[in-house]
Amino acid sequence: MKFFTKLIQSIKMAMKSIKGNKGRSALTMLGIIIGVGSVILLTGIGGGTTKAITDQLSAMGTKLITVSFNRRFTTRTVDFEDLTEFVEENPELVTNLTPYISGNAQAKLGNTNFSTSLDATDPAYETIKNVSLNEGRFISQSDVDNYSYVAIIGTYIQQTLFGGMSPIGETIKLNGKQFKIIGVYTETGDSTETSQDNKVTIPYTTAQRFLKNKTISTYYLEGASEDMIDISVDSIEAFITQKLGSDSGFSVSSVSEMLDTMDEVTASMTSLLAGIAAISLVVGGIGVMNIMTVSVSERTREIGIRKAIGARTTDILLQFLIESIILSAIGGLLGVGIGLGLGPAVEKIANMEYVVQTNMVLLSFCFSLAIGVFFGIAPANKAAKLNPIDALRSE
Amino acid sequence: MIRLHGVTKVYQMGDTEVRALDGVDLYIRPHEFVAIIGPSGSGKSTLMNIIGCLDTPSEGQYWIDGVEISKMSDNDLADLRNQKLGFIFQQYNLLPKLSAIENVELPLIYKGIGISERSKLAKEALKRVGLSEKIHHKPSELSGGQQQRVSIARALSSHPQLILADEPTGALDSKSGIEIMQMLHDLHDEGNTIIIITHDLNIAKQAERIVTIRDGKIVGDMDNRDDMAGAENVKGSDIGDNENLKIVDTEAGN
Ligand SMILES: Nc1ncnc2c1ncn2[C@@H]1O[C@H](COP(=O)(O)OP(=O)(O)OP(=O)(O)O)[C@@H](O)[C@H]1O
Ligand SMILES: [Mg+2]
Repeated sequence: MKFFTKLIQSIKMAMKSIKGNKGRSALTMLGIIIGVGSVILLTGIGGGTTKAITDQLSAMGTKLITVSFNRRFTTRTVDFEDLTEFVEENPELVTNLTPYISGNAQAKLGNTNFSTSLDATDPAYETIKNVSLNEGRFISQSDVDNYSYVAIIGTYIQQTLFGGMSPIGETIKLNGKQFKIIGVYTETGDSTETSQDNKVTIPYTTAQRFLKNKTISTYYLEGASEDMIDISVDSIEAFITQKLGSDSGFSVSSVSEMLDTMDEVTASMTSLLAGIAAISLVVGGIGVMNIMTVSVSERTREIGIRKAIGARTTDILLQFLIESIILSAIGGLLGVGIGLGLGPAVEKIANMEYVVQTNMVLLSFCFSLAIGVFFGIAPANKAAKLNPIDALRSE
Repeated sequence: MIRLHGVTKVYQMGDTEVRALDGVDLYIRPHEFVAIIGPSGSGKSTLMNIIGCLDTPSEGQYWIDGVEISKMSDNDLADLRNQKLGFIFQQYNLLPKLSAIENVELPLIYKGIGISERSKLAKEALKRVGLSEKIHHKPSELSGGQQQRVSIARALSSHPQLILADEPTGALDSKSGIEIMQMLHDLHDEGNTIIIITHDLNIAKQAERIVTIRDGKIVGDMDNRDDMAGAENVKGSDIGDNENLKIVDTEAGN
């Protein structure tokens, strides 16, 4: 109770002295404000970037498994049939499979002529990769079976060749062959030539014939459940290794694996940013110490008077310590306000995603309090240890 | 109540040492009203600071209520100043940023008294010194006499047993000085022990006992109770150099 009364009084006195020196207090707080503000801002930007990338990866489907062969196997091979068999035999691990071929083609209609990226697959691709179409339909099994010359085009091609009109049923020349357009993708980029919207997709059987290349180097599979993705990946790896008699020359990867790596990268990036910002917080703390030291020497006489009328060493210590903590705490709060407030502005101006890291907000605020204690101790201690008569005599 | 034995205070100033107090023996009984006089630089304030536990002697012993001061911790000394002693300084020593009532409340805060009780005691003390109207004034908004009255209220607020006043009227005009002295007399009548340092012989003569100090030594200690009968024994030389008193120093050697 007695301690509580004294504590409340110390807080009141500290507020009074901070208010009594507004300009100086504000300057002192500035270091803390900038420190806390930048921790929150930088980690928010870091968090936003992570979220943007994570979202993109998740959009690909967290159950997506990619198998790619990066060299030709001559004696023993794993082909579409082998993998189909694996999928059929292991429904508890993988549920879906699609082949994927990619390359480039020369697109032509009338006098317009440009290069486009071409890929080839089968109907399963539509669900595995969450394909979204503006209009028309995706490749059907009969397209695959009949080696049909049909294509799904991106919005760049639609705009360049058809001026944005519906191209369904029209034809387009790819490497000199006529293809019937059966669908249009939803825009994913900004519909420019270099974006992802400059592409066509055709049945993989057609592509094998048309590109005179039978090898399929990429397959996409869908894991049965997100939690078991690692087991699925391991099983596929084991299956292929056993078939090939070699564990190199191919890779099996999953989106959730990439997400994990991503998390690690961004975690270290975030701590790097936090570290840089923490340095500015420490600099701010030195500012607090500086001001408290000045304040103690300015108020030596006041300390003497307080001691003469019965202030204990701990009373004086508490008074100055609380003053430095309050100074840092107000600075910390303002920093939090600025960090949170500037977030949306950064989002607009720099066109970045901004995700406030709540733990960093708490951490940086607590850190600023700790700085108040740490850098306040030395000056407060100096004040508390003053000999009453020496303090009273000082001017 | 207070006993000093062989109290010596030495200040080292480069090569030379200044003996501000030199083997002072003094005994002050409860409820006494003592004036300490002596020329400037004789060690009056030094003695007062030691009695007030603001300073420590270089040699010798000092007891308050039977407890030897050198055996007490810093915190015990702070509590002792807070609860048993009340200071009145020549320069008032009020905190300039606090109002009159806040200044008076200060010792009570350190005593750990809660807010309502505290402001009641502080108001009472300010009422006693006749400043009920000015409790929210800052020291800079008060006259010297009023500031000294605030400082008396501050010394009173925690009901100390011993009031130490170092030239309390030194910075005041004679009318304010008389008012301040009247308050000290009232306090004395209520049973407080009072020690006052002064240059002013007229003020010293109001005390029950007059202690004279010179070059750090007590050179005179006289009883002054029988309606100023002994006052004649106080010589101008005991007061020393105070020209304002216009006392001719006839016996400088003593
Ligand atoms: N902190 C100090 N350092 C060195 N010498 C000091 C110190 N304080 C006091 N003295 C010396 O001690 C002696 C006594 O000083 P003190 O202040 O007690 O005198 P005083 O009797 O109160 O004088 P006055 O009537 O002028 O106030 C003086 O010679 C003074 O110079
Ligand atoms: Mg003096």
